[in-house]
Amino acid sequence: MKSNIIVSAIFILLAFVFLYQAKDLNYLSAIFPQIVSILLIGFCVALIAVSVRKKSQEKTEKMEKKDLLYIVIVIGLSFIWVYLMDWVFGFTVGSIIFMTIISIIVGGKNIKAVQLFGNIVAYAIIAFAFWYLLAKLLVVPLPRGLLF
Amino acid sequence: MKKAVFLLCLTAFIFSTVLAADFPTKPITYVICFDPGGESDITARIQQPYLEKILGVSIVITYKAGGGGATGWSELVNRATPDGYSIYGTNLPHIILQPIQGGVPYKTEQIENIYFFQTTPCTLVVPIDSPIKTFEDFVKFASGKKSVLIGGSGQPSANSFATLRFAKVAKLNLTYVPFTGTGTAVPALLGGNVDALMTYSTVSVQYKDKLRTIAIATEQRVPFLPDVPTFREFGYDVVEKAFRGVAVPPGTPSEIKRILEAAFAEVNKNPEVRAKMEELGFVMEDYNEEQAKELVARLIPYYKELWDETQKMGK
Amino acid sequence: MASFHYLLNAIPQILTAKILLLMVGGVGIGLVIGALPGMSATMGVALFLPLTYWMTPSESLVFLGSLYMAAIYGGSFSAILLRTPGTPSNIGTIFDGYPMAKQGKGWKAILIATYSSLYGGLFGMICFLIFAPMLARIALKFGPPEYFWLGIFGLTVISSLSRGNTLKGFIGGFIGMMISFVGVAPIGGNVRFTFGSSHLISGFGLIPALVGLFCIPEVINMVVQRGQKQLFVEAKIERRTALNTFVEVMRKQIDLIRASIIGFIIGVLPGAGGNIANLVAYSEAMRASKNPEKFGTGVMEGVIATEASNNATVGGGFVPLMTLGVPGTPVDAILYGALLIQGLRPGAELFTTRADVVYTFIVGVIAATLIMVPIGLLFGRGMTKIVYKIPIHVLVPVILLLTMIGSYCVQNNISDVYTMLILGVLGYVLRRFGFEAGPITLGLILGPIAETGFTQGLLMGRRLDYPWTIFFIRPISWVLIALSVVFLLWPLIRKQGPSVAGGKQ
Repeated sequence: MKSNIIVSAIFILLAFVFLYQAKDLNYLSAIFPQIVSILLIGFCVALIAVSVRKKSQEKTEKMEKKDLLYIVIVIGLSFIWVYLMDWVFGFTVGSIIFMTIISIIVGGKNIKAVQLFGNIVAYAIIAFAFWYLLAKLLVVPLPRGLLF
Repeated sequence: MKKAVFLLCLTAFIFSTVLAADFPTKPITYVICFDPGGESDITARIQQPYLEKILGVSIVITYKAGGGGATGWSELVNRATPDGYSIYGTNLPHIILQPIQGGVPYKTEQIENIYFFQTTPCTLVVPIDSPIKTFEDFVKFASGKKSVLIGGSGQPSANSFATLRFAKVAKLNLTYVPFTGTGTAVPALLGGNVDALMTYSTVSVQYKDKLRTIAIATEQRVPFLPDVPTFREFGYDVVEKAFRGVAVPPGTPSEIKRILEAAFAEVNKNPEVRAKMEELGFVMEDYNEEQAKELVARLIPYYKELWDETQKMGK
Repeated sequence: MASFHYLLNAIPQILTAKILLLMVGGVGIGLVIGALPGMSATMGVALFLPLTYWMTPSESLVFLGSLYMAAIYGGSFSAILLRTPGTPSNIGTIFDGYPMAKQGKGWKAILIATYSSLYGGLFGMICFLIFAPMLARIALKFGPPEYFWLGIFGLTVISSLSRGNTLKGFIGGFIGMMISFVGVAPIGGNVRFTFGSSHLISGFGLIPALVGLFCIPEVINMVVQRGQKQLFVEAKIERRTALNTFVEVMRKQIDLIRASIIGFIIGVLPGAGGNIANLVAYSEAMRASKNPEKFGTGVMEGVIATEASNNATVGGGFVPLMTLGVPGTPVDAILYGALLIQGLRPGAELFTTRADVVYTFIVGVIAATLIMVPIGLLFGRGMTKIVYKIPIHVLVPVILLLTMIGSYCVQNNISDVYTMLILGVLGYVLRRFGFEAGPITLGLILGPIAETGFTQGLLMGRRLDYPWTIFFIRPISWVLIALSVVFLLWPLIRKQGPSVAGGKQ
């Protein structure tokens, strides 16, 4: 199967990078990673051999383009969420904003206006509950951003 | 990016100077750069209630373990806000050795220690039921052997240097086996997997009923282990210890530093704290910011030399 | 049996209002912390340690012990309902618990987890009482070479763990180990494979990795299923499910005992804990089963194995802590610190000098394990209802928030959140190519154990003519080598091996 060969090739490459970098380390730091890298290469070669010899039995389901788009958006938004929470919005405000946005995107047409309002209230309660538990009771320094 | 960082520093600086008048007003985070349960953690936990009483705010102990402390100290230098509300436990010789060895994004000089409050000297210990009863027994046991296994915590560390130094001056074939901490080193000794431990005085005291301490790497004997001879008494010049202290991020206003320094000095004077610490095998020390700086400056060339020596000896 | 007399004396000690309250509080907090993805038992105990300064030693220990026990159990809730291990000790619970939840049997899975945890918890504590001094001595014989072989032995679990393709399972395991190499070398001390990033000096944290590898792919699946109203449809709950399930679980005595023994023994070894025990117990249950191919599709024995074993490690971990003063797991290390601060020195002499404290602690934790059941069921019922009733689009952001909180709070470090997200995406991609998260995490957990044992072993071997032979000359090593070989070849020995079962979940 093609995908197996590609993935194995990537792993082999990774193993060679590790082997190359291990050269500069002292013996005790390098020996074990070297052994594992070599084993990884061996197993990947075996996987390639097996994949070439027999036609694929495993099937991966096809993914629709639309689904992929949604995944990229949600994951992308999660990264932006973390980034903006850290630098701009702080924990509570950032969480409420992004939870709402992601909810709207995932929900799509399923959401009615009244529901949306209810959701925002629920998210606010959740965010504040965590903020109170962590920041106030356990004094964990949460991301503050500029607003807090 | 650089601009943003600068602006951020500037605002932080302005904020901190404004706040310095009545510092502290909110909880202070005391970051321990090792796992919970270790010596640094226990020290901080003992200080915590007294610091809270003196400063009037809660002290929150958090952990940034990893890389033998390097993770926490990199953050201290590179990312922490210099407003006095985050303070970091520091250890010597770690903060000197790591930059010498390389690969860490901080320099020893960047760490602004405001207090060193205690030390733990290195001690050589064997199991209590071992046929080795005294230091002389150990030397007799070790001489002529192909390899004697000495466990300890960390590499490079005070333990590893003490072992190397001892091996060199006594001309013994000692193999240093590093463990991830005293928590794993002690069972290795008790189980007979190593012949002895080069460890810290805290271990000698806390495992008194299981381990026998046969020598201590101090200039003079210590009060809580009065029967333990020093290496020097046998003519071996091995003096090695680890310091524990506290540092603030670079750029912290000096008024705030003074307040924190005074708080730690006061805690260190407290007889209850002293009693608790000494009971656990810590040697109390008092180095304020200035003295701490001198100490670090004095130790840097010393460890550089030792480091070069170990590199020359090879593996 | 002098200890029996102490035990009896301890019972009235825990029946004071304050201690009972502390137990209930500890259990409640532990359940919540355990159930939150990423919030581990270690974190819970560390976060609440300051509260105990104002307590007496026995109060403090009972509180922290209850919290610990309940957190390990509470982790099963998110494993079953959200496909995310609440703590590293609940990884295996996902394999059968989550399929059960998908089939609408989430509540039943939680009941099974509850009763198994109760069984394992009590089993561990009782074994601790009976065998503690004897086992402590054996545990000490475990030196670096043995830890190396323990790591290898753990890896062989992959051969039964990986459904579909064993080869891919092992590759996943090695990838996990490679991830664990990043950062400062445990023994050599060099900084390695960080690619110049200062964030990576401490390496990839286990908790962010776990949360990312297990939870994010599930969130992505939810996004794909966004058309559906709910995540899964709950089956009709029959009357008296709670009681019937209890009887059903208790009928599986052999499974319960096997898992509890595995958990207890692994708990006794310093340095190994519930994170390894639950996976070993799972693969053992599979090997013993008549229908190993059914594992992974939602069989009861899978949940029993992991949940009984992880709670049994609690009692096991107390063995080296209380008899030798050697903390075996991170949580035990915190308890060790808590004792020292209280002016007590853990060790065998504590049993004689402060027997009141020790036995109040033991009886208290046993009582807390019992209290855990009603509180846990109440909590689990609520959580099941929420997960089953809430529409997907509402659930997705909440789960994302939980993953962020969980990975952030390990070190209060925002870069751990990015790590979590990145590994999550990577985990999803790898899963699509047939590399499951289970073997990868196993490699991640075992990598440091095997490496530390290996390099220390090589140093120990310097006294031999050929250092490498150190790994083959010690009796306990032989046992572990033999076990590893049997495990590795098991699918070949038994023809209808697990390779039949499809990897689809």
